[in-house]
Amino acid sequence: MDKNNKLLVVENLKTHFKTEDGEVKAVNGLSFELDYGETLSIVGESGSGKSVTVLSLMRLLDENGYIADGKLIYKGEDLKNLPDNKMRKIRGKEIAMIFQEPMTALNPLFTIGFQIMEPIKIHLNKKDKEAKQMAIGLLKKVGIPEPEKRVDQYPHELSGGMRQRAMIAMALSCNPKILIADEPTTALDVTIQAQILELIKELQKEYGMAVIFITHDLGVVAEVSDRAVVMYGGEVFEQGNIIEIFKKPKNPYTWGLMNSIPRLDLEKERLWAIPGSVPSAAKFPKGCKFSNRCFLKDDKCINDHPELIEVEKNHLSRCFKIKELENEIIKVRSGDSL
Amino acid sequence: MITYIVRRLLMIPLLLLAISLVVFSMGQLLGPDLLVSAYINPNVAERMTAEQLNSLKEKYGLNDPMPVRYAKWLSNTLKGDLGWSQVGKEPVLDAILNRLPYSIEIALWALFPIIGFSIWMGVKAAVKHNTFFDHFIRVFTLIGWSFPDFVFGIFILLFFYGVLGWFPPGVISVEGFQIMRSPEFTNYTGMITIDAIFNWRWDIFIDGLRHLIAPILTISYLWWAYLLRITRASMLEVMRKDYVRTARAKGVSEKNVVHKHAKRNALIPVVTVSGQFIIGLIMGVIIVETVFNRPGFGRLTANAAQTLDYSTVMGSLLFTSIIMIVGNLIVDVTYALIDPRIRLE
Amino acid sequence: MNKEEIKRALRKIVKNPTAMLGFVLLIIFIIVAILAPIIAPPDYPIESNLKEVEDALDDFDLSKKTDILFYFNNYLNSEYQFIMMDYPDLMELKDTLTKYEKNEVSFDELYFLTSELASYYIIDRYYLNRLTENVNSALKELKREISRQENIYKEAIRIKTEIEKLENTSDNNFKKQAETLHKNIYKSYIKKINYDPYIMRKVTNRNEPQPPSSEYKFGVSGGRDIFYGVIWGTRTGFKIGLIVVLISSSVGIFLGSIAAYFGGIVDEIIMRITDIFLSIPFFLGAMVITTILGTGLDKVMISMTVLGWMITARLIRGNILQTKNEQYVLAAKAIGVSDWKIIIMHILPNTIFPVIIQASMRIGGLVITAAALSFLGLGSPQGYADWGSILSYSRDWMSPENWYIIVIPGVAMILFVLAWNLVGDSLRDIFDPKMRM
Repeated sequence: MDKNNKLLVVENLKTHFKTEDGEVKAVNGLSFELDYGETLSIVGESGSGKSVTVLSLMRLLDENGYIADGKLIYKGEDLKNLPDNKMRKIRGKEIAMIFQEPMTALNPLFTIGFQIMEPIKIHLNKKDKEAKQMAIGLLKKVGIPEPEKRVDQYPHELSGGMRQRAMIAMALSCNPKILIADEPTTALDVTIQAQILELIKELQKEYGMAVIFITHDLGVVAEVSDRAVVMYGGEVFEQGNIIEIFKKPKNPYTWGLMNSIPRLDLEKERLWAIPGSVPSAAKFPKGCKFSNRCFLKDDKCINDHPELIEVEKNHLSRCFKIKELENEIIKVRSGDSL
Repeated sequence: MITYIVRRLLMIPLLLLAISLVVFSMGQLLGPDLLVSAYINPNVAERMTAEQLNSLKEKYGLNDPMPVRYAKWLSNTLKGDLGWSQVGKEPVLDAILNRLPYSIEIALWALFPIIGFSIWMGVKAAVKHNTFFDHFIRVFTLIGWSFPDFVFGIFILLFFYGVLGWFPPGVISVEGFQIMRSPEFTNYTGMITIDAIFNWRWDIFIDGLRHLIAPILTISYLWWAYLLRITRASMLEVMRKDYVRTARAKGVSEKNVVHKHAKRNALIPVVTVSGQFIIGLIMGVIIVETVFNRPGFGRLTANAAQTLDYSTVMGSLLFTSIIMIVGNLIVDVTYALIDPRIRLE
Repeated sequence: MNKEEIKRALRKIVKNPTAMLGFVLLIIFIIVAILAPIIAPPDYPIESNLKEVEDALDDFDLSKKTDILFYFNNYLNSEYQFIMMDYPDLMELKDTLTKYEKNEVSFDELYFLTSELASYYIIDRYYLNRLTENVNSALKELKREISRQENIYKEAIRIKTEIEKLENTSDNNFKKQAETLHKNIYKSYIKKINYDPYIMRKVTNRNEPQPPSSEYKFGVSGGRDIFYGVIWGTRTGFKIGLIVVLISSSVGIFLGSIAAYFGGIVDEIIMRITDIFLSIPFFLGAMVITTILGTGLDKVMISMTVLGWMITARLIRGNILQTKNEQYVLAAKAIGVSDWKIIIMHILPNTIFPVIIQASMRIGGLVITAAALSFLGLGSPQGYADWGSILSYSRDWMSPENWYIIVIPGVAMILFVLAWNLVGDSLRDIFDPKMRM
């Protein structure tokens, strides 16, 4: 693995927040790599730290958040230490981001056109007229009908799906190397969801970008990713190639997530769910963070903190009970009717 | 957008009509005898014959039933006859119009510093959240909000005039007054500082300004505090919004994030409050003219209320309501200009 | 609000220095207001006879019994002598009035009797003139006057009876009974002469201000003791603030609730009325109302109430509109609970908080407005213990050596308003996420 050729290398990222109740370790030692043109999904429930990870990457953390440790190496340069004016040149140009709620993520007082033209004018130094033409072209590319009309409209005049497309247009305007999509479809209808995912896939191919997908939806993960990182409590719990993770999950948490997806093709009597819910940041159990909800837990899990180990080539997992899990999976899968 | 403005314009006469009804009925509570003195100079009335008095009563409908009286009152008012002002010793309309320029002068000089300063400081305090500057501003606004304006005015008069002798009460010095009365000085607007500029007399300008500073400070302090608070609070809220984060994610400079993206949104509640601000200015003018002894519209009203000069007070109320309604219209239009969501209602 | 939330709220208050300052200031003011008669004792008028009784009771022995009784009777005679004499005549007039109304007696006879009483100064000539002007209102006014005199007479009789009881009481009970009687008579005396402790007494007839001295701790202004004015002014401040806020908020709550709950045309009408009232500039409107009703603190309070309910109405209307469609309200309706009950038991408790907070924030502004109106001469009468009117004296004496007539009442006012603002502010900070303004 030649690290210097990777587009993005995140090493041991630790992001902390100063709160009234003390210091919260939202991300606690996260590492992953991203290659040119790859799609990586960061999966997890709310509170797992997945959004914080990418916000750290973009250095868009809130007032009371800060990067305590780690390296964010983009094209060989550590973003963590970059001065503000240089970081600004990266945002929107090299790395672009789209957000979950398109209605609140777009400024209600400016037209769509203006907001798309903004990064074009800043990064590509184009004049108004040319920028506007480019904006119209982008709107067409993301599949918005009548782009000449839409470009002068305001966000509240567009439907949810169209707003999200406009956001994508905005993100792509300067041909970024990495597109970060933070739960882009969560707030949309299922049918629109599929369209947006399709769109992102097409554009990724056309522009040759890498994509980091943040989601809690394993269905989305399966659809778009090459690789995945499963996070829980700010830590990586499983990481690897998407097909391997789905075929041979090596972590009970991942296994739990997969089982919670309702499936029509299997006969199951009840919907399965991981018991309990994600504890608040200060209240994770000692030892393995998942131990209080895991069906394989034992005393070791409760008292000792498992480290991330490479189970197979490029397939990592953080668990003491990997063998037990494998057995359980065989048992369950042989019992499934096909 | 046009329909919006048109709709608001149509509301104005209705509102004015409603207010005129309220003003009129309040006056009728006074009783017929007092009403006569409201319409004519009592010295003149004494020397009138019974016939003349009666025709006067006819004119103002004092012998007629209420609806007729109201109609006559309305038509008289629209013609500009608002009755006789005892404190002004001239017809009410003249009394008000002659004194209005002084008050407008204060309002104009105070308006722009107040709005400009508040917005500038409010935005700055929000951006420098939780720093020393922010805390200082919070204390400043809290005290300002608690300071009754007339007390502040008196304090200022006591200190800046009584102790330092810098800012005297009144509108202009005796010498300046002589100059203004002389033929070499032309009165265009009635406002001292503006006229001084037109006459290219900078000495008069400075003179007038000297007398203006203390009243402006007094009016301003209260409103600085209030507008500053609102701007700051609004700005703090807006800075947390998603679209601000999006702007940053696009690589927009921090300066533009604050002043282009955030500020415009933050100003919406400030504009809404501006409607109240207009009323506040009027009230402030009343107090300030009384404390600093300036012969403007405000002091006229204050004296009128004190001496129970009904017609003058009613005239002031009518004027003020008109100013307010127009002011509110401007505020609403500004609101629609800033926020596209309103325009399409 | 459960216990946990209350504890958390209290903790937040204690941690916040400005909130603590506000509460401390407020408590100080409350203490001063309550203890005003002790801190600045009012100058109760002295009636010589009653004073004699008081002195005798202070240094009591049975030999003074006759003296005490003497002074009591003296008092009775001097105060109530005329009413005792005139009473039968007044009763005759009363009788005649009734007979006149039943047409048993002619107008001339009534007029004759009235003019007789007037010539003896038993009743004022005014009533006689009134009879010729407007019989009906004259009758009403006469009846009122007679019943007023009747009450005085009844009081006289009561005192007389009490004195007689005292005469016949045993020696053991005498002192105690005498003291009680003295207290009661003194109270009625004060009421009779309309003594108002709120009027600051004149200590000198000179109008120039006098600097603070050992006797007059804050100095003298307009001939009156500033210290007394400032202390009793605290009570006035509370009176104004609390009464106006309570009444105007109640009106606002009432109207706002009705508008929100019943909706439709009721809502439209009430909202239009609110809009019209809102277009009246507050300060000016108050000035207009005082012009019509006359000056006086109560008129000022009326005008502030009349012009102050609108924001509360809008606020609670907004909250109710949001709450109206909540599940628990719909459930209550489905069970068949009456509309009024729903409003009072379900909706109001959940929407009242922002109103309370807003009310506390308003008090500061109200006191300032009332003071401004007093300053302009539209509020309290001359010499009333109200910070605004104390400051109005300063208008003629604006120079640095007279700093105390301005700074002292001014600072009192500022601190008072500051206290309310801080308290209201901190309340709002604490309950902010729950507030839907």
